[in-house]
Amino acid sequence: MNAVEKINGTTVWAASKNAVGCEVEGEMVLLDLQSGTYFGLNPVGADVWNQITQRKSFAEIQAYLLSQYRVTPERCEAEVLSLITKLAEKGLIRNGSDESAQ
Amino acid sequence: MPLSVKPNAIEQEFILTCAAAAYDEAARAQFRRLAQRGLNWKYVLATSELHGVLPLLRARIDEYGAGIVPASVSTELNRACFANAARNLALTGELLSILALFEAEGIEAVPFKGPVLAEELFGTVSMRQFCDIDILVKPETVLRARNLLTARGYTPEFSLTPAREAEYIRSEHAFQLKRAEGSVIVELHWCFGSKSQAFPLAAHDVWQRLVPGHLQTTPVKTLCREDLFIYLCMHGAKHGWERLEWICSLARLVERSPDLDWDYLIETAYYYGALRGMYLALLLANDVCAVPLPQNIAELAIADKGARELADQLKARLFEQPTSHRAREFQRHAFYLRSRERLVDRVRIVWFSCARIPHPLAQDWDLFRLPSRMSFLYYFLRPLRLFRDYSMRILQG
Repeated sequence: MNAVEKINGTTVWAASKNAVGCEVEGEMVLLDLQSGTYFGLNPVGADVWNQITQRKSFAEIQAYLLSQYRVTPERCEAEVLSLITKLAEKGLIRNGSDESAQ
Repeated sequence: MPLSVKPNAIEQEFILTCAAAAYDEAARAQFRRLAQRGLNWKYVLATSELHGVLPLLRARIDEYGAGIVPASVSTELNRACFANAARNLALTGELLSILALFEAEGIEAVPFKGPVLAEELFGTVSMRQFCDIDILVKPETVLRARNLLTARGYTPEFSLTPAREAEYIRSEHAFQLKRAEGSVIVELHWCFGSKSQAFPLAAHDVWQRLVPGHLQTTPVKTLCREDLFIYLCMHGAKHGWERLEWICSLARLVERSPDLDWDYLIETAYYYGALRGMYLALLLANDVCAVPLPQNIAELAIADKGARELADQLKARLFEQPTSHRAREFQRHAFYLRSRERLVDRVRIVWFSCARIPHPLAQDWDLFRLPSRMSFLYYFLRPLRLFRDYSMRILQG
């Protein structure tokens, strides 16, 4: 199943059970507990991760970033889509409305 | 704070400046003034790590140290803090796995200290330094919980016969288990202090007052703020407040808890004979970390002469290193005794420290090798051994 195919404005995302994260100097360090792999997100990525842990939808995440950063809606959408796609492919996030994906 | 002529006095003052909770213009000016004085940064970093305040140091330098702190120091500090964060995440993940395991087996478990405390106080596990996982379970489930951990690859600190195990559970408060993979230490508690410590927080009462919380995105039960406050006060006193991070954590809790039920805290501390310990903790939080206290509480704390003396003594030796492990243990015991205001508690602590089956790792077992049917003699031999050891220490000055 391709996570990207399921992304729409109302898709709610959640952190995977095997992903833990913490902020360090404004950046986010993530650990995939299954693989033992660490990942780093820049401050914007950290903001997106924090929104995901609050189970915000794609549209809500976009709206939040547009309120915090000077960016065009088109670029914001593209960047968030790219990040969420990568996080989903790494198994760090899951579709929050799909309980079977836990 | 006046500068003294002790070695590394300026560096110590800088570390304390970084540990302060509130940062007004005066504190910022103090930070900049000290940072520009050619500090021994190697000492600052090493001592901050020892005292568990590297993340706090980094946070202050990030905020106010741009252009003042040498780039090499910032780089080293960042490396250490990222390593700390990575390790803390691994411990957090392991804690979540253990909690899920216990839940699946019907064992109620409450995580405390470590990552739970870090997230509660700072919103992230990266802002504290901790090295183990603490979990509270009910006494009737502790052996089952321990067995689950051993099946998971953990090794208990020592093995005991069933009879000795029952005695251990009656007199102590936790099992320590280690796993070589990931270098993880778990402290599996069934209460908060051993019999010999007369710890003023009854686990069975704590279970009734648990509140919902979160660790990462997982719901957990956690200690209510008042129980957490009492625990941190007495944990610090038990260990002689040796680590600056413990003072900072308590200060942060007070700062972030404007609704703390002080009447309940005073009443509870009075009931358990822990008022002096609480006042001591508050004096340290106020003096060392500049956390403001409600006026009536501050007045009560200042009025306790014993608490003031202990606070002054502690502040004077906060950065000293004991000459030996035994010197440290002696210092801790003496400090803890003095932090308890009631004679009955002091007598109880001394009595149960002496008249008991020794801790499995105590040297009594090697000094007096008795068959198990004669183990009752340890109740008499141990006090003699302790008297000998501490008498010699006093004679040696």
